[in-house]
Amino acid sequence: MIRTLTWKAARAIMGLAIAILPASRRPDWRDAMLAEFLHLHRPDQALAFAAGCLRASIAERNSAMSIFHRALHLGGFAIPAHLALVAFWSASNLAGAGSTFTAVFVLLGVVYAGVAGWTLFRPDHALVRSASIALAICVALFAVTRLPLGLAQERLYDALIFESMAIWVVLLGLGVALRRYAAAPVQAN
Amino acid sequence: MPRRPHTSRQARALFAAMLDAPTSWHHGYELMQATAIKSGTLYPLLMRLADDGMLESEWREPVAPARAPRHAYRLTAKGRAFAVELLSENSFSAAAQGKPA
Repeated sequence: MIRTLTWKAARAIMGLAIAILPASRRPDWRDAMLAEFLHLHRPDQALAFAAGCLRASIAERNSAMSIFHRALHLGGFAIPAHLALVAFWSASNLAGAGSTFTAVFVLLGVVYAGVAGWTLFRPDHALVRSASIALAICVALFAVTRLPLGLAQERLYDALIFESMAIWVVLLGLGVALRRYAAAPVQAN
Repeated sequence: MPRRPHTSRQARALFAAMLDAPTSWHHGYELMQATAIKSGTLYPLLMRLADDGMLESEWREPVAPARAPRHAYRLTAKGRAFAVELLSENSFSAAAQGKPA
């Protein structure tokens, strides 16, 4: 049981390691690390090897980033992480009232926290993908709230939707910039 | 003053291990075991050495029980010359301080 779990964890970490290795190091080094990983027979060895490869991939990715790219990456993580904290704080303030908004803010907090975590590992994909989906959901929600559903506090829902749309547009812009930087050729140091 | 590249303790250990069989091909895990360097340090080091032309790499056919090809590395002539010079400096400074190299 523990052996199987360790193998699964090692494979997951190795998958993450090869996914975040910068494009300038692919495919040779990605395949080299993966081939060596596949050669290992003991799960503890595989786990340690995969953890080391993850560390190496993060270091390679960071060294391939310009200062501006790093700042964008930090922003791409910090903004959703901050929004997650604000959403959880808002939910805790509303908890006593038993409002539907508590659940809405908890959900928003979880989404922003997930996006922050995703951005940390895949800055070139996370923001563009999550913001595109979130904007589509916002538009759909806006359309739904136009229906005669007799929603209480309809204006408050509208305000939340518009605020979310503005936030996701900013995150989408940040994501597009990150993606352009990730695709740009790396300057040799 | 910036340190010369490829002169860290780990780089010296790697050069020493590869100089034991300078014309042989070495696998990543074998180098990890020979040098006690973890994969997180070894691979970036191998990448830098390859970038600077000190290391060549190629895919080697598997030897049983392995089933998949593996990436193997060996020092180039430039890498061997650098390694010999670096390790002899190391031995010289250790001898000057009365320590074993």
